Amino acid sequence: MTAQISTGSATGRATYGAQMARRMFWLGLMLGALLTLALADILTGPAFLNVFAVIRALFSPASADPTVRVVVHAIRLPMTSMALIVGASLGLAGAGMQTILGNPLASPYTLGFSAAAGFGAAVTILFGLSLPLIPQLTVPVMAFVAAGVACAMVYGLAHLRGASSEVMILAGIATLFLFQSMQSLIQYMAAPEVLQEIVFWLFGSLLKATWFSVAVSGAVLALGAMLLARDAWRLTALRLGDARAQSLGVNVRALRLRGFATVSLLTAGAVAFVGTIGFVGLVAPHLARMLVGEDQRVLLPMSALMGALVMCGASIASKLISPGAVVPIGIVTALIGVPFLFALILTRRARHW
Amino acid sequence: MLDIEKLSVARDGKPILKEVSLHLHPGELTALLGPNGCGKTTLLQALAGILPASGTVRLGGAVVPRGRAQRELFSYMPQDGGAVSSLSVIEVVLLGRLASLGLRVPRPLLDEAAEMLDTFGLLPLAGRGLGALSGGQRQMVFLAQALFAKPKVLLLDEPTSALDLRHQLTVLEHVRRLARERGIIAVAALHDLGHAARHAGRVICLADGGVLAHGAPAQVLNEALLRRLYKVKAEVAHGRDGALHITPTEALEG
Repeated sequence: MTAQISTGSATGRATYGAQMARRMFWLGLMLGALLTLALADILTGPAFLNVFAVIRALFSPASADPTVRVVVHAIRLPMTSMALIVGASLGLAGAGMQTILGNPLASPYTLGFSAAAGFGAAVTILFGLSLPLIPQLTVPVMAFVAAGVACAMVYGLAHLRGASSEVMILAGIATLFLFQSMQSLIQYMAAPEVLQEIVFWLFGSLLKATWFSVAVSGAVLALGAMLLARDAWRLTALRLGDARAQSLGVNVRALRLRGFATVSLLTAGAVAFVGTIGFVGLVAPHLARMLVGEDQRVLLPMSALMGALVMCGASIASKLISPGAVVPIGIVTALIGVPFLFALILTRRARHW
Repeated sequence: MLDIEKLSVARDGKPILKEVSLHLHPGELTALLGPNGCGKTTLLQALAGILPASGTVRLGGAVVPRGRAQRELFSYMPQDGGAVSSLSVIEVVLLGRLASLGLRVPRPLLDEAAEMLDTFGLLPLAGRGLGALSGGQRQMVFLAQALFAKPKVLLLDEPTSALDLRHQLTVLEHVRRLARERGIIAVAALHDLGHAARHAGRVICLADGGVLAHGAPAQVLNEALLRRLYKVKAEVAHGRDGALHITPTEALEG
């Protein structure tokens, strides 16, 4: 009997160990790919920089060429950092949203947060609003606040009518359409130059990245990641359905509301400074899931990684498409993301996502 | 011994269970019988702590407080909901002890999960995704998950409903054997009277928010009771080996 037990546990350990090793491999591989792409992103731009000059500028700035140093530290590095942070935030938010709503089509935008943020920005631009002391931050702050209002709407409805995924999706769709139509109203009311500014904001662009916005978005990402990490196993249990998760001792309602608040924070943090960047939050979790499965301890970081990867790729593409100019990244993410999605659809063998 | 005293559960203001009192014995399977809507799931969920309830529950003489202690003692297996994910079999079993899982899965826990799978003969499937299994295999995995939590009371909600004959018998035989070997109190809501008659040591019949009858199947399940409980006409015969044979023949006017 003892021999039987030890063989059993050895087999179990071997199977599980192999599973985890595979996942760690993919995590490591994608991290390496990300660092490579991030470096490539720093190199790319209206002026192509030399690899060695950039590396010197990054790691021993004192001995680097002063022009390269300035370009890298003042322009390129903030943009690349922003791409990484926004991509990671959206990937993470997307993974959280898909698990909480139990829906593979969910994205950070399903519940209307980005539509609200867009409305906030549009109102600010149309009426020329300006906050005292921090006039240059008015648009991001208003976008964040508007996203917060949308979050409160959905949260309130879910709190009142029971936090099931159906209620949340319905509330989210209502919020989405409300803010989208208000956004359209603003655009209708705007003069051509103002309209251009609004639309440009909605495209999403990394050009506005400053070290300040990088720091704020980075802090939001760190906070959101920490909050989701604490619930990792409970979110994994939620993948088995509400009834089973409850039977395992998970307070499903509290988990859903908590997760939702975190996801809206991450989304607002990503969208407020950079504008609406679509697709990343939808596709990154699926790519991650294909590689590492449903264990949220691994899926959440992997979704962040894949999101950052897609954003980095999109950033490079946005600089190469039109030489000398930078196409707004929000336009490019869908172009980069769609081939990934097609590949996903065509190669999927499993019936269950 | 599980003593349930005056358990009452209401949903949306309507009373489902009214001051139900029961005694359940370890080492055997107790079948919970009754028509749809009589409160079988409600009773199981109230015991598991998923639904709020009033009344007292005593396990081995000591009162069970609501909350964590309740969750550790009672393991509830819901009806096969159909929500299937790509989690692997061993991961699903590990989730049975959710509270013990942290950044890493402790090695002893992993070994115990593997042993649990081995008892069910599921070890070769340890790395397979849940979606790749048949309904019967999935149900066995969830049973392993429920038992992994080392409960004192196992609450099963229609564990055999979606299964083929062979898997129905396998699940029930496993539950009986484990209840006997580990001294667990096992309660299963069942629709199949034949299974109840054959595998349950005791049956409890719920109707109108209360207990209609309880006791050994041979004593409780007779034609009059079945007419009252299910509104069906049934033939109840005692076989040569003492087994109870129940044949429903006709649905009666409601």
